[in-house]
Amino acid sequence: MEGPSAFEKFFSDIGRVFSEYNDFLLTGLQNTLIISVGAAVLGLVLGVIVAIIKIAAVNNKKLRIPEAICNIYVGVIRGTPVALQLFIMAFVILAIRNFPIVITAILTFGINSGAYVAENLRAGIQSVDPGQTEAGRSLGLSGSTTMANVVLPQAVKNVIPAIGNELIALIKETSIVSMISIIDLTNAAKLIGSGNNMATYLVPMLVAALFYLAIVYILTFFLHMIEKKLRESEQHISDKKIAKVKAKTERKLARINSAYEKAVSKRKEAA
Amino acid sequence: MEKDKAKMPAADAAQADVFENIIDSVEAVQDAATENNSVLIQDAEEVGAEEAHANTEAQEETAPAQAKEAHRPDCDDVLISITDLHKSFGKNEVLRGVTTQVKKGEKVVIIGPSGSGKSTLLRCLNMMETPTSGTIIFDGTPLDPKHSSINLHRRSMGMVFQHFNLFNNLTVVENIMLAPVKTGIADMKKLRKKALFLKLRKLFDKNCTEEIPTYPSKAEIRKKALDNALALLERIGLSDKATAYPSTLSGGQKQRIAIVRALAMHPRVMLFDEPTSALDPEMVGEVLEVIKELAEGGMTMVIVTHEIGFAREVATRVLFIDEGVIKEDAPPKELFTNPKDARLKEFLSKVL
Repeated sequence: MEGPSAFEKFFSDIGRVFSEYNDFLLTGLQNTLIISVGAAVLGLVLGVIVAIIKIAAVNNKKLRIPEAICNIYVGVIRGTPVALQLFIMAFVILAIRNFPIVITAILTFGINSGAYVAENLRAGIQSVDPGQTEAGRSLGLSGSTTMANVVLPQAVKNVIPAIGNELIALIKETSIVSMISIIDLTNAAKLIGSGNNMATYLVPMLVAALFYLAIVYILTFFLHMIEKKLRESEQHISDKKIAKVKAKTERKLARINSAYEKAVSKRKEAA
Repeated sequence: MEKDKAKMPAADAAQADVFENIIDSVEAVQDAATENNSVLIQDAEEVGAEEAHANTEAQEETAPAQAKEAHRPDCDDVLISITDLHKSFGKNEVLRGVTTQVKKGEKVVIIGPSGSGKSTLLRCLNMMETPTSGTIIFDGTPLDPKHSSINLHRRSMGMVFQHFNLFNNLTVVENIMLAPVKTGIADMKKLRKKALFLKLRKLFDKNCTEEIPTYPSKAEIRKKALDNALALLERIGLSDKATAYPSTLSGGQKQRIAIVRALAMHPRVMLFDEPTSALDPEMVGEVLEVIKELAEGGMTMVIVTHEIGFAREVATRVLFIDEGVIKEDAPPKELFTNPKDARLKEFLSKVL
């Protein structure tokens, strides 16, 4: 008369989630990833554009109107809940028959995170010493060349942690797409656990949580790697790092030399 | 309008010579006048004449006779000519009418108490600060901070800052190469475009004899910049630091690299904005040595500094600035041994 113990049931449930309901799970994971990646790309692009407009508008009266638009955009997006934005997009603005609802979600979250990225990036650009811009301009470089080669690389280094936070928050925020009935990871877990299926929420929810954790961990790992790479120009670096930088720069310089030699030999051949 | 037009040709031809970029519009006006004008041309006339008028007027009214002399073509050894320069930050008027010139090969040292406007004056020279009023004529052309030509002028005005301002994200050699490579490539692209247009034109127009410009390749530009950068580093004895990031260098090394970074653009004048104020006393010497060497090489320089001893040694002329005006302007020997201005006497008694 001995039924399976709670432990055994737990593990067999995990097995069932992966075997019986793997299509739910895969659809959920796929949607979560598609929405997150799409929104992150859109958000970063929007954020960079808005931040640059805002910075450029300080010294340029022609950009007053674009700046005002950017200010309204950031203000409205940051001042309203993302769930509301999602509803407005899905049921008002993009309430078009057969419009792919995943695209709606990507647009909503992309526009949403764009506002946050813009503010982070603007703070990052402003945190770069104005002397850097001055030095670039004093050498005769144009404003945009100085921005692209000197200011932005330093600003990006400063904002990587903040942008990382924003991306992590974005991934988890996508779980509210269940409100417009997209099957993402969270919604899939809910469906698997419902009465029609397993009739227990514990295991599917735990599995979904593990997936979210794994995604965020992988992202954090890459962000750390990028940050470490960007920080190699900073003070108190070890001899080993100095040697590494030296080797890297020397390779760059060697490439310049070899490209030149190639050009010269090509010219000789032609002549 | 009629009056303006009459005034225009009468304006001193030599003066007009100086305003090269205005001349175009002036010529357009004169051409237009002969060709019986349309509405559009009238507009152009108005703008051009007004501009020229404003400039000649400003000169006639405000520039002292001495400054006017500088605008004559026979004084072409004048590199920078500053006329009645004013600069205010909000209500705070920092420069209250500075008029002077810098001749080729001159080493002008600017001294003065802090807050007197000496750094602002220097920063106005390459338009890092936009003057409130007044003109700066560099090598025959008035500088306009809003016009894109300002980037061309800045290339020939090297600037060294108090806080070095090396690009933190680039290694030393990349710091020196960045500007020559980027400006070189930009120039090359312009030439390439021109060559392409000319080639197209020659296809249709057999009589076109204009020569197709030759332009260097990107590889050549980079190689030249690299060789130049390494040579410059060799000159200041920092070849071994070529591949290091600025954050691993001492202040003196940073400043020496900042100097050669400016030199890499082959400037015609070097502006030094308190180059040694942010350095440890130990490192001041090595930086001054580089500047001195540069001075001996015949470079035109404008230096803002607190190093009176250095000023005495290097300067061919010393300006004492106080309360936004030049209080005294004399060769160093005269200025330091026999100061006339009361404020200068007080200043020297404190710093010497």
